[in-house]
Amino acid sequence: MFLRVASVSKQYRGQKVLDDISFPVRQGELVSLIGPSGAGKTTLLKIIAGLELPDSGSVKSTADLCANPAILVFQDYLLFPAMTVFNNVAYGLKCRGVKGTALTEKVSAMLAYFQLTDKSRHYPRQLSAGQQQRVALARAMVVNPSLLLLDEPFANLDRNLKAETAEFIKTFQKEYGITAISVTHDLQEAFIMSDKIGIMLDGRLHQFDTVKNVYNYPASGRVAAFLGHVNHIPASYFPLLGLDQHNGAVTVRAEAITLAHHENGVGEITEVQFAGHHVIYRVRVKELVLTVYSLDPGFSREERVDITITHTIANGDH
Amino acid sequence: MIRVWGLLGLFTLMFLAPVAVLALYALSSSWFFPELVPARFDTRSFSYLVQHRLDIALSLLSSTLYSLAAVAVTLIMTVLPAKQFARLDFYGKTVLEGLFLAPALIPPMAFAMGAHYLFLRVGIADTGLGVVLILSMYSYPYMLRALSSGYQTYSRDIELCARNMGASSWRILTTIELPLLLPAIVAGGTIVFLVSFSEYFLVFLIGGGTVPSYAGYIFPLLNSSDKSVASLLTLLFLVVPIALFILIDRIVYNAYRKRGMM
Repeated sequence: MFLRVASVSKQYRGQKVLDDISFPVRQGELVSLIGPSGAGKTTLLKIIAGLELPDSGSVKSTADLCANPAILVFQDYLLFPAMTVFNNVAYGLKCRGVKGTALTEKVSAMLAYFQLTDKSRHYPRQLSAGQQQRVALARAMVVNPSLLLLDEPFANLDRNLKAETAEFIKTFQKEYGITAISVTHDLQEAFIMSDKIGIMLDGRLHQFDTVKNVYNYPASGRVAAFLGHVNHIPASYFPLLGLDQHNGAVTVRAEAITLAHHENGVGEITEVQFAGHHVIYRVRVKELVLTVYSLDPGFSREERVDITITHTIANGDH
Repeated sequence: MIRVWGLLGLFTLMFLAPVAVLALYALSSSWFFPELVPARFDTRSFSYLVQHRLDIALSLLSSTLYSLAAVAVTLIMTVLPAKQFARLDFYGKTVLEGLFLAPALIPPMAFAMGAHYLFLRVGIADTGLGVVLILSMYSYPYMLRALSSGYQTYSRDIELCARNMGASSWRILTTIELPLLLPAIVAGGTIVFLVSFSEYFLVFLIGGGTVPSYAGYIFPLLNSSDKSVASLLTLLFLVVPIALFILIDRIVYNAYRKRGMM
Protein backbone atom coordinates (compact mmCIF):
# COMPACT_ATOMS: atom_id res chain seq x y z
CA MET A 1 0.00 0.00 0.00
CA PHE A 2 1.43 3.38 -1.05
CA LEU A 3 -0.18 5.45 1.67
CA ARG A 4 -2.23 4.56 4.70
CA VAL A 5 -4.13 7.06 6.77
CA ALA A 6 -4.81 5.27 10.06
CA SER A 7 -7.28 6.42 12.73
CA VAL A 8 -6.50 10.12 12.30
CA SER A 9 -8.39 12.38 14.72
CA LYS A 10 -8.14 16.12 15.26
CA GLN A 11 -9.95 18.61 17.47
CA TYR A 12 -10.18 22.38 17.23
CA ARG A 13 -11.29 24.23 20.34
CA GLY A 14 -13.03 21.20 21.72
CA GLN A 15 -14.79 20.34 18.47
CA LYS A 16 -13.89 17.18 16.61
CA VAL A 17 -13.15 18.07 12.99
CA LEU A 18 -11.65 14.68 12.14
CA ASP A 19 -12.93 11.56 13.86
CA ASP A 20 -11.02 8.31 13.40
CA ILE A 21 -10.32 8.65 9.67
CA SER A 22 -8.73 5.62 8.00
CA PHE A 23 -8.25 4.78 4.33
CA PRO A 24 -5.60 3.32 2.05
CA VAL A 25 -4.30 4.80 -1.21
CA ARG A 26 -2.63 2.71 -3.91
CA GLN A 27 0.19 4.02 -6.05
CA GLY A 28 -1.06 6.01 -9.05
CA GLU A 29 -4.60 6.27 -7.73
CA LEU A 30 -6.65 9.44 -7.62
CA VAL A 31 -8.76 9.49 -4.48
CA SER A 32 -11.39 12.14 -3.77
CA LEU A 33 -12.80 12.85 -0.35
CA ILE A 34 -16.18 14.46 -0.73
CA GLY A 35 -18.15 16.26 1.89
CA PRO A 36 -19.87 19.50 2.68
CA SER A 37 -17.77 22.56 3.54
CA GLY A 38 -16.44 22.56 7.06
CA ALA A 39 -16.17 18.78 7.28
CA GLY A 40 -12.48 18.95 8.18
CA LYS A 41 -11.28 17.98 4.72
CA THR A 42 -8.62 20.69 4.41
CA THR A 43 -7.27 19.83 7.85
CA LEU A 44 -6.91 16.22 6.74
CA LEU A 45 -4.88 17.30 3.69
CA LYS A 46 -2.62 19.46 5.86
CA ILE A 47 -2.04 16.48 8.14
CA ILE A 48 -1.18 14.24 5.17
CA ALA A 49 1.17 16.96 3.86
CA GLY A 50 2.87 17.08 7.26
CA LEU A 51 1.89 20.73 7.79
CA GLU A 52 -0.21 19.89 10.83
CA LEU A 53 -0.08 17.11 13.39
CA PRO A 54 -3.05 14.90 14.21
CA ASP A 55 -4.16 14.54 17.84
CA SER A 56 -4.04 10.80 17.32
CA GLY A 57 -3.53 8.36 14.47
CA SER A 58 -0.88 8.34 11.77
CA VAL A 59 -0.13 8.76 8.09
CA LYS A 60 2.29 6.17 6.73
CA SER A 61 3.75 5.92 3.27
CA THR A 62 6.13 3.63 1.47
CA ALA A 63 7.45 6.64 -0.48
CA ASP A 64 10.47 8.63 0.66
CA LEU A 65 8.59 11.76 1.70
CA CYS A 66 11.84 13.64 2.40
CA ALA A 67 13.17 13.31 -1.15
CA ASN A 68 9.76 13.49 -2.81
CA PRO A 69 7.36 15.25 -0.49
CA ALA A 70 3.59 15.39 -0.55
CA ILE A 71 2.73 18.78 -2.07
CA LEU A 72 -0.52 20.51 -1.23
CA VAL A 73 -2.22 22.73 -3.82
CA PHE A 74 -4.31 25.10 -1.72
CA GLN A 75 -7.86 26.09 -2.56
CA ASP A 76 -6.92 29.71 -3.28
CA TYR A 77 -3.75 28.48 -5.05
CA LEU A 78 -1.69 30.86 -2.88
CA LEU A 79 0.63 31.86 -5.69
CA PHE A 80 3.36 34.19 -4.46
CA PRO A 81 2.05 37.56 -5.67
CA ALA A 82 5.39 39.34 -5.91
CA MET A 83 6.89 36.69 -8.21
CA THR A 84 6.38 36.02 -11.89
CA VAL A 85 4.78 32.79 -13.06
CA PHE A 86 8.27 31.48 -13.89
CA ASN A 87 9.61 32.25 -10.42
CA ASN A 88 6.54 30.78 -8.78
CA VAL A 89 7.06 27.51 -10.61
CA ALA A 90 10.82 27.66 -9.95
CA TYR A 91 10.34 28.24 -6.21
CA GLY A 92 10.42 24.62 -5.02
CA LEU A 93 13.46 23.87 -7.19
CA LYS A 94 15.34 26.90 -5.86
CA CYS A 95 14.58 25.68 -2.33
CA ARG A 96 16.33 22.44 -3.33
CA GLY A 97 19.38 24.28 -4.64
CA VAL A 98 18.67 23.72 -8.35
CA LYS A 99 20.25 26.54 -10.38
CA GLY A 100 21.17 27.75 -13.84
CA THR A 101 20.20 25.87 -16.97
CA ALA A 102 18.90 22.84 -15.04
CA LEU A 103 16.41 25.16 -13.33
CA THR A 104 15.39 26.92 -16.53
CA GLU A 105 14.95 23.65 -18.41
CA LYS A 106 12.80 22.01 -15.75
CA VAL A 107 10.61 25.06 -15.25
CA SER A 108 10.22 25.66 -18.99
CA ALA A 109 9.21 22.04 -19.55
CA MET A 110 6.60 22.30 -16.81
CA LEU A 111 5.28 25.62 -18.14
CA ALA A 112 5.00 24.08 -21.60
CA TYR A 113 3.07 21.06 -20.29
CA PHE A 114 0.62 23.29 -18.44
CA GLN A 115 0.31 25.66 -21.45
CA LEU A 116 1.78 28.59 -19.57
CA THR A 117 4.86 29.36 -21.67
CA ASP A 118 3.51 32.69 -22.88
CA LYS A 119 2.54 33.64 -19.33
CA SER A 120 5.95 33.01 -17.77
CA ARG A 121 6.69 36.71 -17.21
CA HIS A 122 3.21 37.55 -15.96
CA TYR A 123 2.36 38.05 -12.30
CA PRO A 124 -0.33 35.93 -10.59
CA ARG A 125 -2.87 38.77 -10.33
CA GLN A 126 -2.77 39.15 -14.11
CA LEU A 127 -4.03 35.60 -14.67
CA SER A 128 -7.51 34.08 -14.78
CA ALA A 129 -8.56 31.61 -12.08
CA GLY A 130 -7.98 28.68 -14.43
CA GLN A 131 -4.49 29.89 -15.33
CA GLN A 132 -3.66 30.49 -11.67
CA GLN A 133 -4.68 26.94 -10.91
CA ARG A 134 -2.42 25.61 -13.65
CA VAL A 135 0.48 27.64 -12.23
CA ALA A 136 -0.23 26.14 -8.81
CA LEU A 137 -0.28 22.64 -10.29
CA ALA A 138 2.94 23.27 -12.26
CA ARG A 139 4.60 24.69 -9.13
CA ALA A 140 3.65 21.53 -7.25
CA MET A 141 4.56 19.05 -10.01
CA VAL A 142 8.00 20.53 -10.78
CA VAL A 143 9.51 19.17 -7.55
CA ASN A 144 8.47 15.65 -8.53
CA PRO A 145 6.24 15.04 -5.52
CA SER A 146 5.38 11.53 -4.37
CA LEU A 147 1.86 12.63 -3.62
CA LEU A 148 -0.26 15.50 -4.91
CA LEU A 149 -2.87 16.90 -2.55
CA LEU A 150 -5.62 19.05 -4.06
CA ASP A 151 -7.77 21.23 -1.82
CA GLU A 152 -11.10 22.06 -3.46
CA PRO A 153 -9.65 22.15 -7.01
CA PHE A 154 -12.94 23.32 -8.51
CA ALA A 155 -14.08 25.86 -5.93
CA ASN A 156 -12.85 29.00 -7.72
CA LEU A 157 -13.74 27.97 -11.26
CA ASP A 158 -16.68 28.83 -13.46
CA ARG A 159 -19.29 26.13 -13.88
CA ASN A 160 -18.27 25.26 -17.46
CA LEU A 161 -14.58 25.11 -16.54
CA LYS A 162 -15.10 22.61 -13.72
CA ALA A 163 -15.70 19.48 -15.78
CA GLU A 164 -12.91 20.45 -18.18
CA THR A 165 -10.53 20.85 -15.25
CA ALA A 166 -11.59 17.52 -13.77
CA GLU A 167 -10.69 15.83 -17.07
CA PHE A 168 -7.42 17.76 -17.26
CA ILE A 169 -6.43 16.73 -13.73
CA LYS A 170 -7.28 13.12 -14.48
CA THR A 171 -5.25 13.22 -17.70
CA PHE A 172 -2.10 14.69 -16.26
CA GLN A 173 -2.39 12.61 -13.12
CA LYS A 174 -2.42 9.43 -15.23
CA GLU A 175 0.31 10.70 -17.58
CA TYR A 176 2.65 11.51 -14.71
CA GLY A 177 1.52 8.43 -12.82
CA ILE A 178 1.31 10.49 -9.68
CA THR A 179 -0.77 9.46 -6.70
CA ALA A 180 -3.25 12.18 -5.78
CA ILE A 181 -5.79 12.93 -3.09
CA SER A 182 -8.33 15.66 -3.61
CA VAL A 183 -10.97 17.02 -1.29
CA THR A 184 -14.01 18.68 -2.79
CA HIS A 185 -17.70 19.27 -2.46
CA ASP A 186 -18.20 19.15 -6.23
CA LEU A 187 -19.73 15.71 -6.72
CA GLN A 188 -19.82 15.49 -10.49
CA GLU A 189 -16.21 16.56 -10.97
CA ALA A 190 -15.05 14.15 -8.29
CA PHE A 191 -16.94 11.36 -10.07
CA ILE A 192 -15.34 12.25 -13.41
CA MET A 193 -11.75 12.14 -12.23
CA SER A 194 -11.56 9.77 -9.27
CA ASP A 195 -10.64 6.11 -8.95
CA LYS A 196 -11.87 5.95 -5.37
CA ILE A 197 -14.17 8.15 -3.38
CA GLY A 198 -14.59 8.75 0.32
CA ILE A 199 -17.67 10.40 1.75
CA MET A 200 -16.92 12.63 4.74
CA LEU A 201 -19.77 13.89 6.87
CA ASP A 202 -19.31 15.58 10.27
CA GLY A 203 -15.61 14.76 10.38
CA ARG A 204 -16.16 11.03 9.85
CA LEU A 205 -15.40 8.96 6.77
CA HIS A 206 -18.72 7.23 6.13
CA GLN A 207 -17.75 5.23 3.07
CA PHE A 208 -14.62 4.65 1.01
CA ASP A 209 -14.91 2.70 -2.22
CA THR A 210 -14.86 2.92 -6.01
CA VAL A 211 -16.99 5.62 -7.58
CA LYS A 212 -19.61 3.17 -8.87
CA ASN A 213 -19.87 1.29 -5.62
CA VAL A 214 -20.30 4.42 -3.56
CA TYR A 215 -23.01 5.65 -5.91
CA ASN A 216 -24.84 2.37 -6.31
CA TYR A 217 -24.27 0.84 -2.90
CA PRO A 218 -24.17 3.72 -0.44
CA ALA A 219 -23.27 2.61 3.06
CA SER A 220 -26.09 4.53 4.67
CA GLY A 221 -29.15 6.61 3.98
CA ARG A 222 -27.12 9.75 4.74
CA VAL A 223 -24.47 8.84 2.19
CA ALA A 224 -27.15 8.05 -0.38
CA ALA A 225 -28.91 11.36 0.27
CA PHE A 226 -25.62 13.29 0.12
CA LEU A 227 -24.92 11.95 -3.36
CA GLY A 228 -28.29 12.97 -4.79
CA HIS A 229 -31.99 12.98 -4.09
CA VAL A 230 -33.38 9.62 -2.99
CA ASN A 231 -36.89 8.25 -2.49
CA HIS A 232 -37.63 5.82 0.33
CA ILE A 233 -40.34 3.38 -0.72
CA PRO A 234 -42.08 1.28 2.00
CA ALA A 235 -42.75 -2.42 1.30
CA SER A 236 -46.50 -1.84 1.05
CA TYR A 237 -45.98 -0.04 -2.24
CA PHE A 238 -43.88 -2.79 -3.85
CA PRO A 239 -46.80 -4.51 -5.70
CA LEU A 240 -48.10 -1.20 -7.04
CA LEU A 241 -44.67 -0.17 -8.34
CA GLY A 242 -43.74 -3.58 -9.70
CA LEU A 243 -40.99 -4.27 -7.21
CA ASP A 244 -40.52 -7.90 -6.32
CA GLN A 245 -38.55 -7.50 -3.09
CA HIS A 246 -40.37 -8.77 -0.06
CA ASN A 247 -39.04 -7.13 3.02
CA GLY A 248 -38.02 -3.73 4.35
CA ALA A 249 -38.06 -0.52 2.39
CA VAL A 250 -36.00 0.30 -0.67
CA THR A 251 -34.18 3.45 -1.63
CA VAL A 252 -34.47 4.69 -5.18
CA ARG A 253 -32.63 7.60 -6.76
CA ALA A 254 -34.72 10.28 -8.40
CA GLU A 255 -33.16 9.51 -11.78
CA ALA A 256 -33.82 5.74 -11.45
CA ILE A 257 -37.56 6.16 -12.00
CA THR A 258 -39.07 6.45 -15.46
CA LEU A 259 -42.51 7.77 -16.23
CA ALA A 260 -44.86 6.82 -19.06
CA HIS A 261 -48.11 8.45 -20.18
CA HIS A 262 -51.04 6.28 -19.09
CA GLU A 263 -54.51 7.57 -18.31
CA ASN A 264 -55.04 4.90 -15.66
CA GLY A 265 -51.50 5.01 -14.34
CA VAL A 266 -50.71 4.53 -10.64
CA GLY A 267 -49.22 7.96 -10.18
CA GLU A 268 -50.35 11.53 -10.59
CA ILE A 269 -48.01 14.41 -11.39
CA THR A 270 -48.44 17.08 -8.72
CA GLU A 271 -45.57 19.39 -9.51
CA VAL A 272 -43.31 20.15 -12.49
CA GLN A 273 -40.03 22.06 -12.14
CA PHE A 274 -37.79 22.85 -15.07
CA ALA A 275 -34.13 22.46 -13.98
CA GLY A 276 -32.24 22.98 -17.24
CA HIS A 277 -30.78 19.65 -18.34
CA HIS A 278 -33.55 17.73 -16.58
CA VAL A 279 -37.08 18.18 -15.29
CA ILE A 280 -38.04 17.52 -11.67
CA TYR A 281 -41.46 15.89 -11.23
CA ARG A 282 -43.27 15.15 -8.00
CA VAL A 283 -45.49 12.14 -8.47
CA ARG A 284 -48.10 11.06 -5.93
CA VAL A 285 -48.84 7.38 -5.54
CA LYS A 286 -51.58 7.09 -2.91
CA GLU A 287 -49.96 8.64 0.20
CA LEU A 288 -46.42 8.48 -1.16
CA VAL A 289 -44.81 11.37 -3.03
CA LEU A 290 -41.88 10.44 -5.28
CA THR A 291 -39.35 12.83 -6.73
CA VAL A 292 -38.37 11.95 -10.29
CA TYR A 293 -35.63 13.46 -12.45
CA SER A 294 -36.48 13.00 -16.10
CA LEU A 295 -35.03 14.15 -19.40
CA ASP A 296 -38.54 14.14 -20.90
CA PRO A 297 -40.29 17.48 -20.39
CA GLY A 298 -43.55 16.11 -21.89
CA PHE A 299 -45.52 15.50 -18.68
CA SER A 300 -47.87 18.01 -17.20
CA ARG A 301 -49.56 18.57 -13.83
CA GLU A 302 -52.50 16.32 -12.89
CA GLU A 303 -51.57 13.90 -15.63
CA ARG A 304 -51.67 10.23 -14.67
CA VAL A 305 -48.55 8.20 -15.35
CA ASP A 306 -47.17 4.71 -15.12
CA ILE A 307 -44.07 4.31 -13.00
CA THR A 308 -41.13 1.99 -13.65
CA ILE A 309 -38.28 1.68 -11.21
CA THR A 310 -35.14 0.84 -13.15
CA HIS A 311 -32.72 0.52 -10.28
CA THR A 312 -32.80 0.35 -6.51
CA ILE A 313 -29.99 1.14 -4.14
CA ALA A 314 -28.91 -1.61 -1.83
CA ASN A 315 -28.32 0.24 1.35
CA GLY A 316 -27.17 -0.80 4.73
CA ASP A 317 -28.44 0.97 7.78
CA HIS A 318 -31.30 3.42 7.95
CA MET B 1 -18.44 69.98 -5.44
CA ILE B 2 -18.45 73.16 -3.38
CA ARG B 3 -17.78 71.04 -0.30
CA VAL B 4 -14.80 69.38 -1.97
CA TRP B 5 -13.29 72.75 -2.94
CA GLY B 6 -14.05 74.10 0.51
CA LEU B 7 -12.22 71.20 2.17
CA LEU B 8 -9.35 71.51 -0.26
CA GLY B 9 -9.09 75.21 0.53
CA LEU B 10 -9.14 74.49 4.26
CA PHE B 11 -6.38 71.90 3.99
CA THR B 12 -4.29 74.19 1.81
CA LEU B 13 -4.65 76.90 4.40
CA MET B 14 -3.77 74.52 7.23
CA PHE B 15 -0.73 72.89 5.61
CA LEU B 16 0.60 75.32 3.03
CA ALA B 17 -0.01 78.64 4.77
CA PRO B 18 2.60 77.95 7.50
CA VAL B 19 5.08 76.94 4.79
CA ALA B 20 4.32 80.17 2.94
CA VAL B 21 4.94 82.14 6.12
CA LEU B 22 8.30 80.39 6.54
CA ALA B 23 9.19 81.16 2.93
CA LEU B 24 8.35 84.83 3.47
CA TYR B 25 10.43 84.90 6.64
CA ALA B 26 13.34 83.29 4.79
CA LEU B 27 13.29 86.05 2.19
CA SER B 28 12.76 88.97 4.54
CA SER B 29 15.33 90.97 6.45
CA SER B 30 12.70 92.29 8.83
CA TRP B 31 9.04 91.49 9.38
CA PHE B 32 7.30 92.93 12.38
CA PHE B 33 3.74 93.45 13.56
CA PRO B 34 1.56 95.01 12.13
CA GLU B 35 3.09 94.54 8.64
CA LEU B 36 1.02 92.11 6.58
CA VAL B 37 3.99 91.25 4.39
CA PRO B 38 7.67 91.89 5.16
CA ALA B 39 8.81 95.48 4.68
CA ARG B 40 12.14 94.47 3.16
CA PHE B 41 13.35 91.44 1.25
CA ASP B 42 16.91 90.21 0.84
CA THR B 43 18.84 87.01 0.26
CA ARG B 44 20.95 87.12 3.39
CA SER B 45 19.65 83.76 4.62
CA PHE B 46 20.67 82.15 1.32
CA SER B 47 24.14 83.60 1.69
CA TYR B 48 24.30 81.97 5.13
CA LEU B 49 23.21 78.67 3.57
CA VAL B 50 25.92 78.86 0.93
CA GLN B 51 28.53 79.92 3.44
CA HIS B 52 27.78 77.07 5.87
CA ARG B 53 26.88 74.51 3.23
CA LEU B 54 29.43 71.93 4.39
CA ASP B 55 28.27 71.93 8.02
CA ILE B 56 24.65 71.89 6.96
CA ALA B 57 25.20 69.09 4.45
CA LEU B 58 27.14 67.05 7.01
CA SER B 59 24.45 67.38 9.67
CA LEU B 60 21.69 66.60 7.15
CA LEU B 61 23.59 63.55 5.90
CA SER B 62 24.30 62.38 9.44
CA SER B 63 20.65 62.76 10.47
CA THR B 64 19.48 60.96 7.32
CA LEU B 65 21.91 58.09 7.83
CA TYR B 66 21.20 57.43 11.52
CA SER B 67 17.46 57.76 10.88
CA LEU B 68 17.64 55.19 8.04
CA ALA B 69 19.75 52.96 10.30
CA ALA B 70 17.08 53.27 13.00
CA VAL B 71 14.48 52.14 10.43
CA ALA B 72 16.60 49.07 9.63
CA VAL B 73 17.23 48.25 13.30
CA THR B 74 13.57 48.62 14.29
CA LEU B 75 12.60 46.39 11.36
CA ILE B 76 14.98 43.67 12.53
CA MET B 77 13.88 44.13 16.15
CA THR B 78 10.16 43.87 15.52
CA VAL B 79 9.61 41.55 12.56
CA LEU B 80 9.40 38.38 14.67
CA PRO B 81 7.47 39.82 17.65
CA ALA B 82 5.02 41.42 15.21
CA LYS B 83 4.44 38.04 13.57
CA GLN B 84 3.77 36.39 16.91
CA PHE B 85 1.35 39.14 17.95
CA ALA B 86 -0.48 38.87 14.65
CA ARG B 87 -0.61 35.08 14.44
CA LEU B 88 -0.83 33.79 17.99
CA ASP B 89 -3.52 34.05 20.60
CA PHE B 90 -2.18 33.63 24.09
CA TYR B 91 -3.01 34.54 27.65
CA GLY B 92 -1.95 38.10 28.51
CA LYS B 93 -1.40 39.07 24.87
CA THR B 94 -3.07 42.47 25.19
CA VAL B 95 -1.04 43.36 28.29
CA LEU B 96 2.18 42.33 26.59
CA GLU B 97 1.29 44.32 23.47
CA GLY B 98 0.63 47.34 25.68
CA LEU B 99 3.99 46.92 27.41
CA PHE B 100 5.72 46.74 24.04
CA LEU B 101 4.29 50.15 23.17
CA ALA B 102 5.66 51.73 26.37
CA PRO B 103 8.69 53.54 24.83
CA ALA B 104 6.36 55.63 22.69
CA LEU B 105 4.23 56.51 25.70
CA ILE B 106 6.88 57.23 28.36
CA PRO B 107 8.79 60.53 28.03
CA PRO B 108 12.22 59.75 26.51
CA MET B 109 13.89 61.63 29.33
CA ALA B 110 12.69 58.89 31.71
CA PHE B 111 14.65 56.08 30.14
CA ALA B 112 17.35 58.01 28.27
CA MET B 113 19.26 58.82 31.46
CA GLY B 114 19.45 55.16 32.41
CA ALA B 115 20.33 54.20 28.87
CA HIS B 116 23.04 56.86 28.79
CA TYR B 117 24.65 55.41 31.93
CA LEU B 118 24.54 51.93 30.39
CA PHE B 119 25.92 53.17 27.06
CA LEU B 120 28.79 54.91 28.86
CA ARG B 121 29.71 51.66 30.61
CA VAL B 122 29.71 49.58 27.42
CA GLY B 123 31.46 52.38 25.52
CA ILE B 124 28.86 53.28 22.93
CA ALA B 125 27.92 56.68 24.32
CA ASP B 126 29.00 59.52 22.01
CA THR B 127 28.94 57.17 19.00
CA GLY B 128 26.69 56.82 15.97
CA LEU B 129 25.85 53.27 17.09
CA GLY B 130 24.62 54.58 20.43
CA VAL B 131 22.43 57.16 18.69
CA VAL B 132 20.94 54.54 16.36
CA LEU B 133 20.21 52.19 19.27
CA ILE B 134 18.58 54.84 21.49
CA LEU B 135 16.46 56.08 18.55
CA SER B 136 15.45 52.49 17.77
CA MET B 137 14.50 51.86 21.39
CA TYR B 138 12.37 54.98 21.32
CA SER B 139 10.65 54.51 17.98
CA TYR B 140 10.25 50.74 17.47
CA PRO B 141 6.59 50.70 18.68
CA TYR B 142 5.56 52.42 15.44
CA MET B 143 7.26 49.72 13.37
CA LEU B 144 5.84 46.97 15.60
CA ARG B 145 2.27 48.21 15.16
CA ALA B 146 2.65 48.62 11.41
CA LEU B 147 4.18 45.16 10.90
CA SER B 148 1.66 43.49 13.16
CA SER B 149 -1.15 44.98 11.03
CA GLY B 150 0.80 43.97 7.91
CA TYR B 151 0.93 40.35 9.01
CA GLN B 152 -2.82 40.38 9.55
CA THR B 153 -3.46 41.32 5.92
CA TYR B 154 -2.53 37.92 4.51
CA SER B 155 -3.19 34.32 5.41
CA ARG B 156 -0.70 32.16 7.26
CA ASP B 157 -1.39 29.51 4.62
CA ILE B 158 0.95 31.22 2.14
CA GLU B 159 3.82 30.55 4.55
CA LEU B 160 2.63 26.96 4.98
CA CYS B 161 2.55 26.68 1.20
CA ALA B 162 6.16 27.89 0.90
CA ARG B 163 7.23 25.56 3.71
CA ASN B 164 5.51 22.71 1.91
CA MET B 165 7.56 23.57 -1.20
CA GLY B 166 10.68 23.05 0.93
CA ALA B 167 11.53 26.63 1.89
CA SER B 168 13.51 27.36 5.06
CA SER B 169 12.25 29.95 7.55
CA TRP B 170 14.86 32.42 6.30
CA ARG B 171 13.82 31.93 2.68
CA ILE B 172 10.15 32.32 3.61
CA LEU B 173 10.96 35.57 5.43
CA THR B 174 12.99 37.06 2.60
CA THR B 175 11.08 35.83 -0.44
CA ILE B 176 7.47 35.65 0.77
CA GLU B 177 6.90 37.67 3.92
CA LEU B 178 8.99 40.80 3.35
CA PRO B 179 7.58 41.51 -0.14
CA LEU B 180 4.05 41.14 1.26
CA LEU B 181 4.93 43.32 4.25
CA LEU B 182 6.46 46.07 2.13
CA PRO B 183 3.55 48.53 2.46
CA ALA B 184 3.57 47.99 6.24
CA ILE B 185 7.35 48.44 6.35
CA VAL B 186 7.03 51.70 4.41
CA ALA B 187 4.27 52.90 6.74
CA GLY B 188 6.14 52.02 9.93
CA GLY B 189 9.52 53.05 8.53
CA THR B 190 8.20 56.47 7.58
CA ILE B 191 7.18 57.23 11.14
CA VAL B 192 10.38 55.78 12.61
CA PHE B 193 12.36 57.91 10.16
CA LEU B 194 10.46 61.08 10.98
CA VAL B 195 10.65 60.54 14.73
CA SER B 196 14.40 59.86 14.50
CA PHE B 197 15.10 62.66 12.04
CA SER B 198 13.39 65.28 14.16
CA GLU B 199 14.61 64.00 17.54
CA TYR B 200 16.82 66.55 19.26
CA PHE B 201 17.21 65.57 22.88
CA LEU B 202 18.13 61.87 22.54
CA VAL B 203 20.71 62.55 19.84
CA PHE B 204 22.19 65.38 21.87
CA LEU B 205 22.37 63.27 25.05
CA ILE B 206 23.66 59.99 23.63
CA GLY B 207 25.62 61.52 20.73
CA GLY B 208 27.27 63.90 23.15
CA GLY B 209 27.80 66.47 20.45
CA THR B 210 30.09 64.19 18.44
CA VAL B 211 27.31 62.84 16.22
CA PRO B 212 26.15 65.71 14.01
CA SER B 213 22.40 66.10 13.70
CA TYR B 214 20.36 68.58 11.73
CA ALA B 215 17.95 69.13 14.61
CA GLY B 216 20.95 69.89 16.79
CA TYR B 217 22.33 72.23 14.15
CA ILE B 218 19.25 74.38 13.80
CA PHE B 219 18.21 74.34 17.46
CA PRO B 220 20.42 77.33 18.51
CA LEU B 221 19.30 79.23 15.40
CA LEU B 222 15.63 78.68 16.27
CA ASN B 223 16.31 80.17 19.69
CA SER B 224 18.14 83.17 18.25
CA SER B 225 16.47 86.29 16.94
CA ASP B 226 17.53 85.57 13.34
CA LYS B 227 14.20 84.29 12.07
CA SER B 228 15.23 84.56 8.44
CA VAL B 229 17.99 81.92 8.63
CA ALA B 230 15.98 79.76 11.03
CA SER B 231 13.04 79.74 8.59
CA LEU B 232 15.15 78.80 5.62
CA LEU B 233 16.80 75.95 7.50
CA THR B 234 13.40 74.77 8.73
CA LEU B 235 12.20 74.65 5.13
CA LEU B 236 15.28 72.61 4.31
CA PHE B 237 14.33 70.32 7.21
CA LEU B 238 11.13 69.49 5.31
CA VAL B 239 12.89 68.73 2.05
CA VAL B 240 14.68 65.52 3.06
CA PRO B 241 11.71 63.54 4.43
CA ILE B 242 9.39 64.74 1.67
CA ALA B 243 11.89 63.83 -1.05
CA LEU B 244 12.41 60.44 0.57
CA PHE B 245 8.64 59.84 0.82
CA ILE B 246 8.10 60.62 -2.81
CA LEU B 247 10.99 58.40 -3.88
CA ILE B 248 9.95 55.38 -1.80
CA ASP B 249 6.29 55.82 -2.58
CA ARG B 250 7.03 55.80 -6.32
CA ILE B 251 9.26 52.74 -6.07
CA VAL B 252 6.83 50.71 -3.95
CA TYR B 253 3.81 51.90 -5.88
CA ASN B 254 5.39 51.01 -9.22
CA ALA B 255 6.57 47.61 -8.00
CA TYR B 256 3.11 46.78 -6.65
CA ARG B 257 1.24 48.13 -9.67
CA LYS B 258 3.44 46.13 -12.02
CA ARG B 259 2.49 42.99 -10.09
CA GLY B 260 -1.18 43.93 -9.94
CA MET B 261 -1.00 43.92 -6.14
CA MET B 262 -2.78 47.24 -5.71
